[in-house]
Order: sequence, then structure tokens, then C-alpha cells
Amino acid sequence: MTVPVLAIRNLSFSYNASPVLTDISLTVRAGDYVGLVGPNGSGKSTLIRAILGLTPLRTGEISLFEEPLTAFRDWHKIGYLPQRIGQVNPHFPACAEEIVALGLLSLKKGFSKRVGEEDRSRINDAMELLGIADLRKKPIGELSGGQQQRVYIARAIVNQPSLLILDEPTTALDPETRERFYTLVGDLNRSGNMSVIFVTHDIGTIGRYANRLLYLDKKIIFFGGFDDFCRSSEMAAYFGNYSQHIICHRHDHDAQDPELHGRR
Amino acid sequence: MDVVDLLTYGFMQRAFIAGCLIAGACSILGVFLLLRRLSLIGDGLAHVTFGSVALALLLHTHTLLVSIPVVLLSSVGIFKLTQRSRLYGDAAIGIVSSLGIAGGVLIASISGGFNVDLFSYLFGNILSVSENELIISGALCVLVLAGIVLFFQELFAVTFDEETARTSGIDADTINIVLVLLTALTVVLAMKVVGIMLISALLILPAATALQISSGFRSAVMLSAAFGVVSVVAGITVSFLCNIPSGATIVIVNLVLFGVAAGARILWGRS
Repeated sequence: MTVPVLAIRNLSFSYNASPVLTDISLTVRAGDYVGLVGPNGSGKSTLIRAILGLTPLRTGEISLFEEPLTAFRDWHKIGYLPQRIGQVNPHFPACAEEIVALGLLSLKKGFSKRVGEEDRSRINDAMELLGIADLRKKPIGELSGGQQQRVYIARAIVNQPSLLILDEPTTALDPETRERFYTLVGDLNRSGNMSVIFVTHDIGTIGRYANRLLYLDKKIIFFGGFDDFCRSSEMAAYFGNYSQHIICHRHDHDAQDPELHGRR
Repeated sequence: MDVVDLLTYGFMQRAFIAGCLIAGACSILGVFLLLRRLSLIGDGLAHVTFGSVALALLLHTHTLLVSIPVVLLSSVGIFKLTQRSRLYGDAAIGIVSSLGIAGGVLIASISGGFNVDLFSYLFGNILSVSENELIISGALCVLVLAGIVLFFQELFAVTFDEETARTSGIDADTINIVLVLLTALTVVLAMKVVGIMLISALLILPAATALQISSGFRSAVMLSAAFGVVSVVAGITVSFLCNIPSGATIVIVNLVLFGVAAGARILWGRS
């Protein structure tokens, strides 16, 4: 049995007395690639924020790499891409390279946090991987939405985290870049043994890459392998055969599917 | 009189050294404050400085002895108000700043009304820096600059995006406190250079000028420091030669620099 990178026990969370998450318990193991799917307002982002310690816990426990969240200090093991990328000040005076370098801060101990030679080559590698090496010196505000997105992804992976958490990373990407990005994350997951939690609405695509599906709607509707999901008559009853078919057959028709849109 | 002759005067040497150090600290911190939309914190803390100066004059002690602790505490107060009491930063600054002015006016009236001393603090006079003041403000400036260098990457990370900074293991609360404390210290020192009324100009203008033309964060900070220092050197020189107030001259030089930078940006088409 591989080690759990993330374990959640009995997590509940309410916002102004209305429950956002109810009794969430799950374990993500090293090498897992979890597609986290659910309708708007289903608590996906709240769950992610709770895992990262950005939202204080009232009930339940979370541990990262077998350490309770409150005692967890090895933030270099985590890569995170937040959802609200468009909110960055467009006049912020930082070039792409400087933003990517921020991802290395968690690796640095003590007072010296200067960017050294080794750091530069890591920054370079991450930017090459995302095809943005030529944008190194460009101010972030002058980049297109998709380019900015890739800069933030580079920041999330530059420290070669063991657990990569991506909150709707593909929204600003064109189809071609999106495909490349899915492939990249898949490669990182397989060859780099990086566990991944991937929040997305692309339910037709995520199944081609992720090996586990977490369907959330304020509580866990389903958590397990895709094959189990597809064989489950309970899930067929919950989603209707057609939607289950979209998720299982792992193709992209969902965007045009009105029934599924209603569900999301 | 030849400009070079200026440097033979002891008071001019002190003014240049103190002015450059303080302007450097101010304009570097200004970049962080501007980007965090805390530009007016300087103004708020300056008003608190007014109250603390009135208190120092009442107690007949050196102003720095009273101002530094009072302004440091107020800066933490502003920060805690925004965190604890559902207030936006600008409202918290407004509250603390009016408290400073009201306190200052009350204390001044108790101690026999406004006098020349208090006015000299309102508008500053860098040419009157004494040797002791130079040593104290020099040491404090070095402390502020060391603090910025030490926490540079953390300050940058938190300024860019506080939440992601937290997930990199940065203690954002501590970094925020460090930022407001360094600002408070700098505001007290800047009082001597441009006066209480114009401190926020020295915090905001060099940074705003740098943001017009910089393409990276490090370069923005360097440029801001350069603009701050240039404005103080030019301002002191012009004010001495033309016999006009130095604080106001420094601010006008800054405005000219800002105008040139903004114009350059528009002309060369950087958006």
C-alpha cells in the first residue's frame, strides 16, 4: 500500500449556517490522479482551500503526508494553482520569470531566499515545459490570458511538488494548449510520480487522464476508479445513463449536452 | 554660488546623507504599499506622527522618542483593525489618522496652542538635521533597508498574491506586520525631510513613477529608490539655491519625474 499524501476525516464546513461540505472523508495516495468534479457551488473550491489551510477548520481533520495540517511545514511538497487568476492586477510590475521563481520560495529555508544558479535552471525547465521560455522577461500584464495561465502553472510545478493541486486550470486555455496541458500533467503524474488533484468541469476529458473520480455535491457523491463509477448502477440512477456515458466514454461532447449542463 | 560649494557646508552634507537614506527607504516601501493598495497608510501614519509630535513638545522630550513607539503601535492598530473588525484598509487608515490629528490638536491646545515648533514639523526642514539626528535616522534607515532586503522575496510573494504565498509556507501575517512596522519607522524619519503634510508624497510618487516604466519587480524597486534619491538631491539643491522650502521642492521634483515617466510611457506605447 502506498503512503497517503492526503487524508481527510469527517470534514464538514458551513458558511453562515448553510452547509457547504458535509462529512467528507477520503484518502489520496501517492501516484493518484484525482479528477474533482461537481456543479457550481458544490464545495470544490472550499475543499481545496481547506486542504491548503486557507480556510480554518471547525469540524474534521486533514493531514498532508501523514502530518496534521496544523503541524504541516513541508509546503515545498505542494504545488497549487488557484482558480481566480483573472484577478491579478494587470499593472503588477513583475516579469514572467519572477512569478515562476515565487514557486521556489517554499524550498528555501532560513534567511537566504535569493534566486541562485540552480534555481534559474529549474525556472527555465518549468518554462520550457510549458512552452513559455521566450516570455521570460515579459511583464505579466502584457501576456494573454492563456500565457498568464501557463506562467502560473509553471510556478505551481517549478518546485517539483509531490502533490499538485489545480483549481480549474484549463479555463483560459485554447483547445490545443489545453490538450498539451492535460498530457503534461498526465506525464508528471506517471513519470514524476506526482499525485494530482485536478478540479475541472471538463468531465468528458478528465477521465482520459485521471485514474480516480471524486464527484462532489456538498457531500461525496462518488469517489473511486472510473471503471467502478461506470459499472455502478447507483451512479447510473443518480446521473442518468447518458451523463454517466459521457463521463465514462471520456469524450468531449459534454459542452453541448443540455442535460448535463443542468446537472452542473 | 557654485553647486559644488554646497557640499562644503556641514548642514548640507548631513541633509544629503539623511535625505538620500530616508528617500531610499520610503520609495522602496512605497512600491509594496502601492501594489497592496495601502498607499494612504503613509498619510494616516503621518497624521499620527502629528499627534505624537504634539505630545513630545508637551513633555519636552525628543520627538523621535515619542513618535517612534506611538507610530509603530498605530501601524499595528491599523493592521489589526482591518483584520478583526470587517473594515477595509482605507477605513481603518481613516480612523487611526483622524485619531492622530484630534489627539494632536487637543494636546497642542493644552500645551499652549500651536507654536513655531509644531509648524516646522508639519512642513519639515531637512537642512536643520543635527549630527545626532543624522546618526539616529541613518541607523534606523539601515535597519529598514536591511529588513526589506532580508524579507524581499516574502514581501514580493505576499504583495503579488497573499493566498498563494501562504501555500508556499510563507507566514503572511508576520510579513504584513513587518511591512507596516517598517513603514511606520520610515514615516517618522520622513517627517524631517518633507514634513508631516507631504510624507505620503515621498512614499507614493517615486513608486508610481517607477511603475510607469519598469518591466519587472526588481527593476521597479531599484527605479523607485533611484527616483526617490534623485528627487531629494535635486530638491535640496534647488531649494537652497532659490531659497524656497525644501520639502515642497522635493515633492514638486517628484511630480515632474512622474510626469516625464508617464509621458514617456504614453509616447513609447507601453500599455
